[in-house]
Amino acid sequence: MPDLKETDEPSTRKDHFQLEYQPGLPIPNGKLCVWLFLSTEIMFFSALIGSYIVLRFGAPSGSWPTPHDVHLVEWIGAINTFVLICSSFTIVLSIEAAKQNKSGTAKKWLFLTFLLGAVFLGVKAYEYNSKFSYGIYPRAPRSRMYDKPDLQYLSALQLYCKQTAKKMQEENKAPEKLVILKEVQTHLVDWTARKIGQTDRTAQQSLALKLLTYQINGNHRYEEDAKLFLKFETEEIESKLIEINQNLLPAKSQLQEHNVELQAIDANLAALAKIDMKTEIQNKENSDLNQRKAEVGELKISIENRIADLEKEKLAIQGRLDFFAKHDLGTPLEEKFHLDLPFVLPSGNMWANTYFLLTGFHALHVLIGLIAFLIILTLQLGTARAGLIENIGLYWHFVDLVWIFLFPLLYLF
Amino acid sequence: MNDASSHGDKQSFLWRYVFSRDHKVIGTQFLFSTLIWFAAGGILAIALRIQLAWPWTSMPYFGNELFATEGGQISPDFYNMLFTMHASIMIFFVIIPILAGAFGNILIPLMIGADDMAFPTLNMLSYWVMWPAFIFMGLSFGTPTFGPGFGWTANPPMTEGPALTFWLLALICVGISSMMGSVNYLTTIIQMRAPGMTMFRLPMTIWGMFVTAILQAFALPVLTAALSMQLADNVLGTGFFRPESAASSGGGEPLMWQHLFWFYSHPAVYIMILPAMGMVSDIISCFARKPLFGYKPMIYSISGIAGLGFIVWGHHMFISGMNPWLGTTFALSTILIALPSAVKVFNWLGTLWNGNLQLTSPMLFAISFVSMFIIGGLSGIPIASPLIDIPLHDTYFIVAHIHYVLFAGTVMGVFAGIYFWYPKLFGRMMNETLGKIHFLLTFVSLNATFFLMHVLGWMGVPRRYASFQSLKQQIDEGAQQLELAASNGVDKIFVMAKDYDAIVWINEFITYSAIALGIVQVFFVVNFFGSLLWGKRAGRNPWNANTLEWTTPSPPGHGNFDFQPTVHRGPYEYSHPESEKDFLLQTDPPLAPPHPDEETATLVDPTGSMPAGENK
Amino acid sequence: MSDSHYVNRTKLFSIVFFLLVGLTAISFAVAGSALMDQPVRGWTAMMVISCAKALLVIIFFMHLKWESTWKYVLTIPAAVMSTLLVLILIPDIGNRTDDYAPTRQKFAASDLNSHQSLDDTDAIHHGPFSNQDQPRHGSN
Repeated sequence: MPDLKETDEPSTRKDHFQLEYQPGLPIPNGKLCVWLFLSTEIMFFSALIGSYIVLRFGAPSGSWPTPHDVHLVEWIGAINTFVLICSSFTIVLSIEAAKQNKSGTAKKWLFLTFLLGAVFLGVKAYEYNSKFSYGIYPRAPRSRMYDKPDLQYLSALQLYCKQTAKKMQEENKAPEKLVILKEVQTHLVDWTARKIGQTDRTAQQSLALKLLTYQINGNHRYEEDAKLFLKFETEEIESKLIEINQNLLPAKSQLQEHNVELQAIDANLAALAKIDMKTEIQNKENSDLNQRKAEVGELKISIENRIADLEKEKLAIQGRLDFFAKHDLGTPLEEKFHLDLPFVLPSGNMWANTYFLLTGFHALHVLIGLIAFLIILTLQLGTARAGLIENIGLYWHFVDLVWIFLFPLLYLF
Repeated sequence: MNDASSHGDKQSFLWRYVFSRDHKVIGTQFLFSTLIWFAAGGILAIALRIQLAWPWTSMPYFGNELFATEGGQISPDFYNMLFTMHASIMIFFVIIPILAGAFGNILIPLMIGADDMAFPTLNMLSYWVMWPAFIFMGLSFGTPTFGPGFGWTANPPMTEGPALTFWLLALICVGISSMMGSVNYLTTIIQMRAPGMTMFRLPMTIWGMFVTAILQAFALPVLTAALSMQLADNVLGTGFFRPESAASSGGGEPLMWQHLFWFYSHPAVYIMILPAMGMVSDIISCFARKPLFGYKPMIYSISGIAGLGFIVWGHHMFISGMNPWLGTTFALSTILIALPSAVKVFNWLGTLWNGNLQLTSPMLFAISFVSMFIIGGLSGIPIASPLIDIPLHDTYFIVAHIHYVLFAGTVMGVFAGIYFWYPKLFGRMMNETLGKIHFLLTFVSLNATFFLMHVLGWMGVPRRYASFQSLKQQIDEGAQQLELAASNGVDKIFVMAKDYDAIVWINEFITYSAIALGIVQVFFVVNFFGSLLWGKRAGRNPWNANTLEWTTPSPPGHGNFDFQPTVHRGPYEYSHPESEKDFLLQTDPPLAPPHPDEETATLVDPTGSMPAGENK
Repeated sequence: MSDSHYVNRTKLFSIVFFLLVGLTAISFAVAGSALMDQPVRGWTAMMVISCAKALLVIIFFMHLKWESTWKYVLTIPAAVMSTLLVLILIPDIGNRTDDYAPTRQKFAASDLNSHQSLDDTDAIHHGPFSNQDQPRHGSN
C-alpha cells in the first residue's frame, strides 16, 4: 500500500488512471439503470391503473358507461395494440442488426419503430378528437356530460338552448338546425321545466326528466322509464286536450254573447248620444248602459284571457304531441341532428377522467420514446451502440407492456 | 473546496460550481440548499409557536408586515399556512434531500472506492430539478392565502386554490429528483465497488443509503401518481378525489388519496431515518474504538424495517373511516416493526458497552440520536394500536412522536454526520468547544421543547389548532362533571384535561424552549463558516477511522482516490484482537496467521516443494 | 452482455410476434363472445391473455430469458408490490358502494337501479331534488 502522506494541499490524481471495480451484476451500468427505472415506472402505472380499477368497480353497480355510450371503438384500440406489438418486434430486429454490426439495417428497423409509434399517437389523436366532438372532455368546463337526470342537468340544458339559439340566430348559418333547436327548447326542455313546477309528485318529476334525457341521448338505462312515462303522459294530455276543446266551445260562445251584448249597448249609447238634452230617465239609462258596458267589458277580458290560456295550453299540448309523433322515441335527437346538447351519462365524467389520465400518461411516455429514437437515429448504430439501442428498447417494451394491459381494461371491460 | 477538472486548468465559477458533475460538489450544493431551507422551516416553526403561546397578539414581523391593518395579529388561515409549510419544507426540502442528496452523494463513492457516481450527469440533473421545486414553493407564498393551508397531508376535498397547484408541482419535482438519485445510487453501489469490497463489507452508512434508495424507487412513483391526480382535480376539474357533489363530476373517493399518499409517506419516514441510522452506526463504532455489535443483524434489521415499512401505512389513517379489519392488520404489522428497531438499539448499546469512548462532538450527537430515538420509538408503540390512536390521533402526542424521531433523532444524526465528515469534505477541522456547546444546548432545548408535548397530547390538546382558548369551556365543563360525579360517589369518570392553565403555561414554556433551540444553532453556524476560513487543516484521517473515505486526501480531489483501493477487511476493525494497532483500515492487507512459534513462523506450503523440516 | 458471441434469434422473435398478434385477436374475440355474459369469467380470461402477452414480451423481447438470477430479484418484488397496491385499494374504494347507507345512495354521482313506478314509493331514491330528504308533500 502506498505511503499516504498527510498533505496540505488537496491533490489531484496525477496520472489519470481508471479505478477498478467489482460489479455486482454481469450487466452494463446503463442496463441496470434502465431496469431500476422501469421498476419505478411499474409502480407509477400500478398506482394509476389500480386507481382506475377500484374507481370503475366501485361505481354504483351497472352505472359504468359501455364503450358504445362513450363512442369508444374497440377495433381502433385493437389496431393500436397491433401497431405497438409490431413496433416492439421491429426494435428487437434493430437490436439484432446492430449486434451484427449492420448499421444501415439497424437504422431502417429503428426508423420503422419510430413510424409505428407515430402512427399510434396519430390514432390516439384521432380518438381524442372524436371524444371531444361528442362533448366528452376530462371535465370542466367543456364536458357536456352530466351524471344524473336532475335539476342541475335541466338548468344546464335551458341555459345551453338559450345561448345557442341566440348565437345561431346572430350567425344565421344553419337555419334548419335553429328550427329544430327551438322545437327542442319549447316542446322538450321548457315543457319539462313547466311540468316539474306544476306537479308536486316527485316520481313524476323524475320520470319527466328521464324522458327528456332519453329522447336526447338514448341511453338505454332510461328507456323503460321513458316509455312508461311517455305513455302515461300522452294519455293524460290527450284527455286534457279533449277537455280543453270541450271548455273552449262554451267559452267561445259566451264570448260571442258578450260581444253581441256589447254591440247592442254601443248601439244604444250611440243613439242616446245623439240626443242633446237628455231627460232624467234618459241620463239614468245612459249611466246604466255605461256601467253595464264596463261590466261586460271586464267579463269579456276575463273570458278572452281564459280562452287565450286554453289556446296556449292547447298549442303546447299539440306541439308536444306533434313533437313525439315526428321524433319517435327510438332515435335519439343527438344522433339525428348533432345539436351538441348536454347529455346524461351516469359515471361518464369519471370514465372520462380515468380514460384521459391513463391514455394521456401512456401517450406521454410514447412521445418520450419517440424523441429518444430520433436522437439515436443520428448516431452510427454498430455493435458499439447495440447496448444503447437495447436500453431504449427495454423502455419501449415497457411502454408496450402498459398498453397490453390498458387495452383490455379500458376498451374491453 | 473541490478542485478543477482532470485537465488541471483553472475553471470558471459557472463550470466548477453550477455545471459540475462531481458528486462532492453536487452533494455540497444539496447541503447548502437544505441548510438554508432548514432555517426557513425553523422560522415558520417559531412563528407558529409564538401564536400558540400568545394567541391573537401582535406577531413580530409576520403580523406587523402582513396584517398591519388587524393590529399585527395573524389570521387563522395564516396559521394553517404556517404549520403546512413548516412540515412540507422540513420533510421535502430538508430531511430527505440532506440525507439522500447531500450525505448520499458525498459519501457513497468515497466509501465504496469509486471515483464518482455511475451517472454523473444524471446526478447533476437531480440537483437542478430541485430548483423548480424551490421556486414553486416560493411562489406559493405569494398566493392570496400566503401559501397552502391544508396540512402537509393535503387531504382532498379540502384542498383547493392556486397554492395547491404550486405545492403539488413542487413535490412532483422533488419526487423526480429523488427517483433520479435513487436509481443512480443503486447502480453505483451495486456496480462500482472497489475490488474486495463485497456487499457484507460495506459500512452501515452505505447499507442505509442502499435500502433508502430501494424505498424511494418503489414508493415515490405512487406519490407522483397521486399528486398528478390531485393536480388534475385542481386544474382540470376532474373528480378523482372529489366525492359526489353538484360542483364536481363526482364519483371520486377522498379515501383513495389517503391510501396512495400514505403508501409513499410511510416509507418516506423510513427514508428520513435509515441513512441517519447507518451514519450513527459508523460514528459510534469509530469513537467507541470497537467493531459494530452485530453487523449482519444490523443489515437484516435495516432491511426488515424497510420491507415491513411497506405494509404499515394504514396506521396514519385509523380514523379515516377505513375498514376496521384493515386497521387490525395494519396494527399488527406496525407493532412488528418495533422488533428490528429494537435490535438496532440494542446493537448500538452493545457497541458502546465497554468501549474506549471518545466523547467528541460527533460522538455526542450520535449517542443522543440513540437515546432520543428510543423515546421517539417508544412513543410510537402505543399509537400503533387503533384503540389508543383514535383518541390520540391529531393531538400533540403525535407531534411529540414526530419531532422526537425526526428532530431529536434524524437531525441529531445529521449534525453528527456533519461534524464527522466536515474534515473530509472541507479539509478543515471544526472547533470542538463550539461543537460541544452546540450539542449541550441543542440537547437540552430540544427536550424542553418536545417532551411536554407528550403530556399535552395525553391531555387531548388537538394539533393544527391556532389557539386552545376554545378548549377552556370544555375543560371547565369536564371539571364540573368530575366534581358532580365524585359527589355522587362515582369514581370511574375520566376527564383528560383538568386544568386549562396547565395548557397555557406548557405552551409558553415550549415556545420559550423552541426560541432557545433556534438561537443556539448560532453556535453551529459560526462553527461551520468559521472553520471554513480559520479551521485547523485536516489530514487524511483525523478520527483514525477505518472506512475507505479516510484513505483519500482531505478534501478528495477529482477522482477521489490517488491509488487503487483494494479492500481486505470489513468496516469496523477497531481494536482488532490480532493486531497491536488501534485500528485497521479496510485497505490494510490481511494479517499473517498467528503462529505459536514466532521464530519458525512461515507460510505453509501445500505443494510440499519446500525442503522438509521447514514446514511446521 | 450475457452472451459472449452473437446468436441469431430472429426466427424465435418472429414466432413470438405472431403469438402476440394471435393472442390480441383472441382477446378481441373473447370480448365479443358469449364469455362476457358472465362478466367475471370474461374479465378473468382477458387478464390471463394479457398476462400471457406480457410474459412473452418480458421473457423474449426484453431478453430476460437469457439473463441470470438478478432478474428474479428485480421483477418479483416489483410484481408483488404492484399487485399489493391494487389489492389494498379494493376494500375501501372498490367495495365502497356495498356499504352505502340508503341516504348516501341518494347522493351518489350516478343513479343506481333506475326503474321506478309512477307513484312515489321510490321517491326518496330518485327525486330530482338531490338535497331533499323527503318527497315533497309526503304523498305515499
